Amino acid sequence: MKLSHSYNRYQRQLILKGFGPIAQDKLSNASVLVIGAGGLGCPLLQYLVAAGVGHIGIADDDIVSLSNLHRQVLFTMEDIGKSKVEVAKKRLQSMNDDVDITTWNERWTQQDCVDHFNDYDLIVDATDNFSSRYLINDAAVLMGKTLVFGAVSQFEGQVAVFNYPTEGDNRSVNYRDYFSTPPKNGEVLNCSEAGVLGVLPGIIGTMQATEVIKILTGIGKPLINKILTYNSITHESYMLELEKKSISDNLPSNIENFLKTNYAELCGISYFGIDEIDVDEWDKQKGNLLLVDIREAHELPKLSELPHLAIPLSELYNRLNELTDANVVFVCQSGRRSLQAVMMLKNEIILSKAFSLKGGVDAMLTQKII
Amino acid sequence: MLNMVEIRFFGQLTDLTKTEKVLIEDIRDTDMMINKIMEMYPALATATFKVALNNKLVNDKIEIAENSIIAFMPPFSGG
Repeated sequence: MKLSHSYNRYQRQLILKGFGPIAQDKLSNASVLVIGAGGLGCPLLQYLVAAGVGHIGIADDDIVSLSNLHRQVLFTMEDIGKSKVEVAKKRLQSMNDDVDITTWNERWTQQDCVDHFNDYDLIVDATDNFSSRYLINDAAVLMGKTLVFGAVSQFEGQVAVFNYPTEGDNRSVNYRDYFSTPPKNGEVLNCSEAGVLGVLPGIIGTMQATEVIKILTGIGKPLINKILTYNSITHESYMLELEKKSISDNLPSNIENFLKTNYAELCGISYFGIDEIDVDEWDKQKGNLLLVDIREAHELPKLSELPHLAIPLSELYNRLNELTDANVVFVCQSGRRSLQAVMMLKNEIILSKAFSLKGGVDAMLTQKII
Repeated sequence: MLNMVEIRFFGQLTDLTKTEKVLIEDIRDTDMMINKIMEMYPALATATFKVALNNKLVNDKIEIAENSIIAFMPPFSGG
């Protein structure tokens, strides 16, 4: 440490047993790339910057919106419409100008991984979709980088450290050793569809920051070969032990094949369009179509102005007889669960045809149908 | 005495099962247990998940000891 103000700034962690100036120097010499500056990224960036991690990269292509503010604590109402990485950098730099921050206001690509991963000691996945998560995981494994993973779902969250160096040239498990392939598109909902308790990504992002600081300083045991699931409602946690496979299933064999992999398609994004019908088309044909709202009973707004049937997705299997011989259009909030409903019923012969309403109730609201 | 096993559902699987925990009895192995759960909650057929027995992933059929805890775990993606 060079300056006395640094001692003052970090005094509370410097006096910790086993920490001291050596650990602080490790932090200030370290570089961490955080992909995603949203619910997970905001708290973890705050703590990494506050702790004095010397070099931080932040990548995100999104802009701040009002619905972000209940959990993305780096942003204010004045930031709505602005680039997340730009706002985050300014705010973080005002917390600690010792830290050098590089930003990418773009969606992180395979080429970006290849171009920039080697500039960083650690990679942190703070994204919100499977396509990015598999892409980042694969690049980290192929490029020999340790990855700190975090993800949330409604009231629960997960944390893990992947591809950490172990004995010899070996590495700990990665996400492909857990789920070797992504789920079908629309099956696992994101925060905008399934909801998330605002403090949850705060907790999980802070746990990710804890893992980063532990790894960089060599303090404690990182979460390797296991994945921690935390439930914010019960405060129960569940530790799942994972086993390393000799070759992770479905991992691209090398960088060349990694660059050729279509991660959007892998995660089923190309599925969109097949059994979908947009709001305009539905409006023209609605006389021949039975509209089925598959949202749960508590979800708003209700479709009370429109003739429809309400069957929550969880009850769909047991209420198929209500759909006999009908041409059905499933609708949910954003059009993801309704795709799931179409997939669920693909093999059910009682239906003439099932569609998913593209964009769901959100699209109906935008087009002032309701 | 019947073998009681506790099953826990995580993440969005609870939207399909409407419960986080269920006790089932007289279950000898993981295949039998999974069949029983799929019968009880047919909506799980559309979901992606892993099954763990006493905190370890289940890849093959194994015997279930009394008072075991089983977890049904989906992938999480939100951030």
